[in-house]
Amino acid sequence: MPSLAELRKKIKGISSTRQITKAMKMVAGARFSRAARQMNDARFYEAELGKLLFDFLSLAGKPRGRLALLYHTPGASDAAAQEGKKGIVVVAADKGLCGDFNNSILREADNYCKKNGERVAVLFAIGHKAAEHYKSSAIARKINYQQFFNRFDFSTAETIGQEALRLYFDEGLSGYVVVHSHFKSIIRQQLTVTRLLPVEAADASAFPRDSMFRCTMIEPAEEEAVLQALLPMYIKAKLYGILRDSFTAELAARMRAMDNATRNAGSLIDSITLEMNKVRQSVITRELSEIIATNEVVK
Amino acid sequence: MRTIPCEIVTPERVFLRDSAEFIVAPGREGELGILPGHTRLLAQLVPGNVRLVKGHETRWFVIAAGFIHIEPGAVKIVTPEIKEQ
Repeated sequence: MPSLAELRKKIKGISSTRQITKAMKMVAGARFSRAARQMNDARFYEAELGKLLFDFLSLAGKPRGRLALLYHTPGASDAAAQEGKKGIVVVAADKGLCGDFNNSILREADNYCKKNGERVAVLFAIGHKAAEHYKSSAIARKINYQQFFNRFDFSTAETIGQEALRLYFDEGLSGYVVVHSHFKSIIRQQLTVTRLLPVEAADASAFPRDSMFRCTMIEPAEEEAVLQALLPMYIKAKLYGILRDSFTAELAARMRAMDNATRNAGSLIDSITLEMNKVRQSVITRELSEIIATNEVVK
Repeated sequence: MRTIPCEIVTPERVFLRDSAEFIVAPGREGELGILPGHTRLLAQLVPGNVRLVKGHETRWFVIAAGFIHIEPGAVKIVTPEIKEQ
């Protein structure tokens, strides 16, 4: 049977852990509302650019030349696109202590890499956990971006997007996917694999037709010049939306994980306190019976 | 004076939601002056000044790049970076 002192020490240890988990839950909660607002703003920006892009494409037709590589029309070249080299962007968190958040993302990304084998030529590991996970992976081009989630803005997404686009052309990739967590609600995050590139006509369905602009005139008149600016801008906006989405999901996951941990610590303290009381009671009973026995002997 | 609703959207937030009598934006092929009733237009913007005129007040902004979309009832500027001067 453990001694009273041991049990007291255990309770003390667990309560300090509970204080930490409780504080972490509060911190995640405080940052969550700001992150959610920033996510909505990022999504709004992405939607505005999406409307512009797809409206423009419906007017100007599909891109030509080098830009055609960024746009995919379902049809004859489907098989070639399937066989081509691919890039993957894995968006995890910088820190752990957020339940299954990192593991589920990395598992899904691993599955994708396994399925596509050597066709995966470029990997972007976003967040320290992803960078650590893929440290010894055999993928040819690995790019890490980490320790920025605490404080990041559009320029981070711009840098990543720029690099992703450069490698897309340099390595002759046929597509990029992003494996990330999508914020559904505070208790639900959904693991999502989003196609970042190439852009498809079907993506327009994300921006309801009736809310689209209907432009009739374009300036400059060379369509390619407009697309040259608009397409990368849209892709960077999409990436920024995903990063904001993932960060919001991470905070929600951390809030829930820390809430569970706090609650578990509470029930653990309760059960140890009960055990401690039993031990204390048995000590008292033993001492009492000893006193009575001594008393009997003395009589 | 007639005005047109104007919205400036950035990745971080909707930077401005206002109306103006006259808007000037730095188009790729020269400055664009927009009055109410302007034709529908999608134009690429280059780094430069955006000006919003309303009554006697003129607001100046600097933008990095972006696009402007003009509809009869609304003007929308989408830009990755903007600062008010």
